[in-house]
Amino acid sequence: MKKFLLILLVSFICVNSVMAFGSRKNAREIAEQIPELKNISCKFTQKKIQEDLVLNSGGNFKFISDKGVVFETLYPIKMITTYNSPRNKHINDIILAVSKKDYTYLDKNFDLDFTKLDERWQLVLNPKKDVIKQHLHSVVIDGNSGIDRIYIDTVNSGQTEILFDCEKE
Amino acid sequence: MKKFLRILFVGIFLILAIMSLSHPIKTETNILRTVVSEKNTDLLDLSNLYSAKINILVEGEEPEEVSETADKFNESALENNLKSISVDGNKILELYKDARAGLLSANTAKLLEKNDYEKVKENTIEMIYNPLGFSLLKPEEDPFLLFTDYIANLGDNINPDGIINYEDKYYRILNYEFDKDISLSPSLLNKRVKKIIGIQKQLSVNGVNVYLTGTPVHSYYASSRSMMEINIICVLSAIFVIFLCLTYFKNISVLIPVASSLLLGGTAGFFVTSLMFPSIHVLTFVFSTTLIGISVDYSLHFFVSKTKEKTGDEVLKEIFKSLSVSLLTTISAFLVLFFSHMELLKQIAAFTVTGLITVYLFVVLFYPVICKKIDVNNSSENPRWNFIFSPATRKIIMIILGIITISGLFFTTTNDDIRSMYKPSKKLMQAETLFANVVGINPKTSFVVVEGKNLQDVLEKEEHITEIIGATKYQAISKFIPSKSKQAKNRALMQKLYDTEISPYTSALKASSKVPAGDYLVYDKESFPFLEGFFLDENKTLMILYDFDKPELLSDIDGVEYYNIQQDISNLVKECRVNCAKLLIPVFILLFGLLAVIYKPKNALKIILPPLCACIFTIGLLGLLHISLNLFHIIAMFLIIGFSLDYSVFRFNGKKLVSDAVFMSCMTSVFSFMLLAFTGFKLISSLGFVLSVGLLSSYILSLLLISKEE
Repeated sequence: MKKFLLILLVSFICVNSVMAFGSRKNAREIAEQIPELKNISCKFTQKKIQEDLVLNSGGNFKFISDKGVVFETLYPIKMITTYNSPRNKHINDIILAVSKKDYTYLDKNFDLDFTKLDERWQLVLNPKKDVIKQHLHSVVIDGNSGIDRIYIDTVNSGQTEILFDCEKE
Repeated sequence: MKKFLRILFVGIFLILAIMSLSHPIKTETNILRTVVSEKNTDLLDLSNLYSAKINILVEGEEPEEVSETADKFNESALENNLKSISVDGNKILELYKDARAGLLSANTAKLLEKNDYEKVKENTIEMIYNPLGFSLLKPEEDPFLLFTDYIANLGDNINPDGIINYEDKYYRILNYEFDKDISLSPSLLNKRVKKIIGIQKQLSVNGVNVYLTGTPVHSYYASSRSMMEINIICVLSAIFVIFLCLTYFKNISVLIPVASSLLLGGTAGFFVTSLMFPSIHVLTFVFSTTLIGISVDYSLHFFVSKTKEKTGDEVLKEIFKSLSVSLLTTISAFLVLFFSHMELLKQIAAFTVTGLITVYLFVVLFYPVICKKIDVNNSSENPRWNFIFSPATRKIIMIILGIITISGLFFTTTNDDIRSMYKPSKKLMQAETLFANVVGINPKTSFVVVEGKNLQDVLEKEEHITEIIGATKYQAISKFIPSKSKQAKNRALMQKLYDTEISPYTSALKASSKVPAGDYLVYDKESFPFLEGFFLDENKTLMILYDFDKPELLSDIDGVEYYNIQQDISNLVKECRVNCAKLLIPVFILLFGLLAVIYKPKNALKIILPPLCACIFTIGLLGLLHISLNLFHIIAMFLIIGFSLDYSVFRFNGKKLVSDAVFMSCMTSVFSFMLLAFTGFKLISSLGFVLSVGLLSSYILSLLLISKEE
């Protein structure tokens, strides 16, 4: 579960992916604490906040290891978003890099901070390259036994919070 | 008089040397240059597009090890001056931002043209709710996310550097390009590729495989292998010649004047060819080495006729007519090649004719002097290698040759695919196939060359073509840099959208009701280095089309040329093959005419029949062996005529010992060409086979058709 969220984070950033070198040790250490990724289905709720404007949405989320991630938004509009089309090729490349534990590739994109207190933990990803920094401040993942929340802070699109609820599956 | 002629010979040679060496001599290695004329430079440029590019494919069981190896490779490659095309994403994005009012994705532009604003808004909402999507601009700057949509659509045109999963293995692809000064120099290029291969070997460990593909890699392996094979052949040929000289003349020193004459002939041929042509094709050297086989005849005849009792001048007097007629007929055959439309044939003609004349003059002017002290053991009055067949045997051999020829001619086919001349090693072939599969290269790629008055004109033409080709996938500059007229049109479409639909956003998002001001996006080399490869000229670009099979749709557009390289080159090769084959007829008529004047028509026919029949027999044998006839086989026919007509002329003119000289000459040539037939480069090996068969059959036919009594 932790790992699939990592996929989300990396995928998010790779819209503007430009690579850089970074701390290899962090990615490897963190990855060691992430369980082996399995196919998973969850409910998700999403809140996009831009100044006074708040957009709520939600639906189903799936991770299929050989196909990538699928967001099936059910409200307020119905749409399915996948990241394996040519348009989202970069996203898919990085999803693959993360899900298959390609630390070398991952380290090029982020500075990673991982903190753990009892069962709760937090992972913060900060982009390394300027071209990414121009659009993304940071990504924060909060988790317990699994991933509970992803918080994406962007430069132009405000903040996005995605909450996952896998117990209700 | 002879002394004056010798000084004149040396003087002319020195003048040629000074003139030739005082200007840079270029070597052409592109095999297409043999068939592509100046008017087809676009085709040549297109085929050269990938000549300096090298692709690295890193394969492994785990993505981590693949990425790690790819990074190590990249570091080493950059240290070895390999150029990787890097893009300054920041700079490009800023340029696009400034010009965003004129930038629309193809899909959005179509929707706006149809005034389908509802669909445009629907797409915008989907982008807003896309969990992993975000805007590149603030909402008030781009309320409909048109700019984000445009940039996202460009994404699929940029080669990803991510991991690729293919058949349970993981791959990373690295693309590099050599600088032009390196790629145009075969020796420099090979040195660099050798280093790259070293890195490849070093990193292909622990289950990770590094594959190399691309033209420079093929050139390296082909030239390295050819070099080794040619060295072996040279050594074996030299041993064979030494063996013959020792056996026949019992004196190895005859090799000194022989080698000197060949060296002078080759050098003079090189000087004249370099003066006549802007660059010498490497195949000219390959074909012209056959000069050695022809011109060595003159020396052999001199030494075979030389005895202790005769002075050099007397020997020369005895063989002068044979030598002169041989020279005349051979250079006549090669001079006809000047009327061909192939530069390669013209170069071969210039090289061989000059070389032959030089060797002839060297033998005639200098041999009587320099060979005074070379004592050859020619005590026997009778030839040692004179093969006389009984009439019955002659008939049987003729019938066998006839049956092979006629039956083979029925199976004769042609093959004008230039790729059939080169067969890469299994390892390289495997790497190319794997690379194509992993990258998903579309084999049905064709090109369109677009020429205009200026770049804007070119871009407009490209855009017109994209409208015609419809859903066909393509790559072109206009995809990244729309023409100004297109940008103006987009700006108008965008303004119309704003005029109609912006009002709800102006208050909520404080968005402007006007499309943003800004300049047009224009091409500049420094900002868009990855587009440089699309330019063939300042005002000439290329478009790459995938799976396009209706070239007739583009035929009426001014300044637009469609190229299916594979097909176009095959057509050119076919045209050259047919033209060359047509030249064979005037060559034979010319030679017959010359010989008829010298020897009377009946004898001329006897002399010319062996090489003529040998050519037909060789074609028949190729048919029987199911080897398709190609351009280079036809070129080989000229060489067979050039070589083997001498056998007939010498036999016809010859004194008693001439058959020994003809036999030795034939054996040295056939032996060398037979060795060439076993080389790895198919072009050379097929030539070697054809020439050895042609020369041997011509020799046998000369034995059958020209009897000793004559």
